Amino acid sequence: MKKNRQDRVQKTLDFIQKDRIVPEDPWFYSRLMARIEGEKEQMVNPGFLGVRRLRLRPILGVILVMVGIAGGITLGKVISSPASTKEPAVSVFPMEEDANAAFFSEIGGANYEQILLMK
Amino acid sequence: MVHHHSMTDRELVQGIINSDQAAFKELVETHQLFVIRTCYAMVHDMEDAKDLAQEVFIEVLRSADAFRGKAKFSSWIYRIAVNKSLNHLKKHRRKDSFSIFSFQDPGGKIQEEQIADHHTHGGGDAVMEEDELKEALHTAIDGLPVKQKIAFTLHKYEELPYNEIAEVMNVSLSSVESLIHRARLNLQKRLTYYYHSNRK
Repeated sequence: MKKNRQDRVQKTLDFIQKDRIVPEDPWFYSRLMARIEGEKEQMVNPGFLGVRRLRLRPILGVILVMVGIAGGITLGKVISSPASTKEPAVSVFPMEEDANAAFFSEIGGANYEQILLMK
Repeated sequence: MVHHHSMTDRELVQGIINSDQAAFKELVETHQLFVIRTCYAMVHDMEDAKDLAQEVFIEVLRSADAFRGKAKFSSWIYRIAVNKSLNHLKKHRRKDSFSIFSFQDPGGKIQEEQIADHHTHGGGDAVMEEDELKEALHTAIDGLPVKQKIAFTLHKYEELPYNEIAEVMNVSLSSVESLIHRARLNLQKRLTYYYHSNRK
C-alpha cells in the first residue's frame, strides 16, 4: 500500500511534464493589440465613467464632506436655537379645554361640585 | 525555453521604447509561450493565464524604459509575470481552496482532517484520470509557501536554471537551491497525505 502511494505521488509529480505544455495561440497577438487599442481609446475618450471622472473623485469627495459638515452645523444651530423652545406647546385636547372654558363661563366660575350640590 | 529571433534584447527594448510595433510583435511572439506558462503554473487556469500574459506585455510596453539592463530581459519579464500572477491570486483567492493548504505554512504542517474533508471523492484503487492528477498536483503546489512555489514552478514548468531563478526572484543561488529542495519535500509530503486521505 505504501509503495502504491509512493507511485501515485511520483506519477503526480511526473504529470508536470504534461501540465506544462501550453498550446500555441495564433490569435494571442491580435487579441493583445485589440486590448491595447481599447485601453488607448478609453484613455482618449474616458466617457462618463472614464479616467477624468476618476481624477475628479477626490475633489468631489472633499466637496461632499464639506457640504455634509456645513449642513450638520446649520441643522445643529436650528435645533439648539432659543427661538425653537418658545414655540407654543401643542394642546392634546384643545377642544375639551375650550369646552370647559365655556362651561365655567356659563356657571359663573362656580365649582362643578357646588353646582351639583345646588341641584 | 526562450527562443531568440532576429533582434537582441537591447534592440527589442529600444524598439519598444521608440514605439516600434515590429519590435513589440517580435517581443510578444518570442516570449508569449513562456509568459503564459509561467502565469498558468501559478494560477492553474489557462484562460486566466492568457489574460494575465496580456497584462504582462502591456506592463512591458508601459515600463520598458524602466528596464536597466542589469538582469536579463527575460528575467525581468518573468518577474512581471510572477508578480501579476500573485496579485491575481490575492484578488481571486477562494476561501475553500486556500483553507486546505495555507500559503502561510512555513513548517509545512498539514491538517489532515481538512484535507480528508475536501477530498472525500477520491477514487481509491481506481485508475486516476488526468484531471485527478492535475487537481492533486495543483492543490499541492498551491499549498506551498509562496517563495517555494515560485522557485519550484520556474524550475519545473519553465525549466529555468537555478541562476536565472535567483535573478528573477532577486535571491542568492543557495536560497534557490534550498527553496526547491524544501518545495520537493513539501510536495511529496502533501501528496502522500492527499492520497492517504483519499483512501479513507
